[in-house]
Amino acid sequence: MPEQNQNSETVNLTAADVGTVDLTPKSHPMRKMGNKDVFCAKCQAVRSMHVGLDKNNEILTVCPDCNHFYKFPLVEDPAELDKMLLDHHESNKGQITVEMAEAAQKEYDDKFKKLMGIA
Amino acid sequence: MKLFENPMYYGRCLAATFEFEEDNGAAAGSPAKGTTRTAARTEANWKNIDDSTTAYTSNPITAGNNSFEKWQFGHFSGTFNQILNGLFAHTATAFGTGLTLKGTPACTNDASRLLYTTPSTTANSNLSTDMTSAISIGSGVGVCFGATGPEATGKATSMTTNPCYTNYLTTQLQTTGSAAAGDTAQVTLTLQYDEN
Repeated sequence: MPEQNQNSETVNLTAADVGTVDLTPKSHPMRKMGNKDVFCAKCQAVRSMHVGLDKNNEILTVCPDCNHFYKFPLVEDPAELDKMLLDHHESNKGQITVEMAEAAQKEYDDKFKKLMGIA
Repeated sequence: MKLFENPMYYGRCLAATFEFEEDNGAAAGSPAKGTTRTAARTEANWKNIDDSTTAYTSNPITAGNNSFEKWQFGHFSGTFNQILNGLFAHTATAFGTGLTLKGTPACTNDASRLLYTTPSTTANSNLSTDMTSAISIGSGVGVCFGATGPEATGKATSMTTNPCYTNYLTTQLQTTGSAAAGDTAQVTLTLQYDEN
């Protein structure tokens, strides 16, 4: 029989090498947003809207008046959302829908016809 | 290209040639642009793939998700002196429930042009314009023009360089779970400009 050597090495783990892992679920700060004032591009007015996360963890808010929704990417800091909402407001204020333009044109035409006595 | 003769002024008016083009793929270069550039686009189908060729029926958007962004832009060539007064908007046909169209912010100078990023299905916070409702083109977002490409610096509200390009006219269709299955309505997006 050939001679067999058996070797072994040991590693000493001291207390300083052992860390703790916190497995407590953390709630994302954006889950605690509640309601915020959001400009609705469709209503052209600021509405109090519930702000929450959808199944893709994107920020979702819905206008309670017209049901139009707005999505924003998830951010860590609520101040970043405030900045996006401000940009959203600035970008969309003053939109004139086709319906509003047609109503304004009809009102103008009606006034013109009345002035001309052809109403 | 059309040729018009105006006998009253004994002059000739030549028209610019226009086409939409589209960038796709990873952001490349500086300033960044798409890896692939496709000319002569006649539609923009929002879908669950970043290209300009695959049928939208092959890569539908699952309700609750977003499309990849569409990075389209205008390209002017032919004969013109100046292109100016650019506006971009959704001008006809309403979207159904559970659909929101987001689009490029107004471009009023070189600093405000939208910079290309690799298309993805994440809601793009840079697309701050809500284009869901059909609006009067007069209240559309401002568009700038420049040489070389939509990505290039030097964009301005009027341009004499030929050829010239708009800034990126990027859009993304976003949905919630309440979006109906099947095709969305076919909507019209308008780029209005003056030329002389």
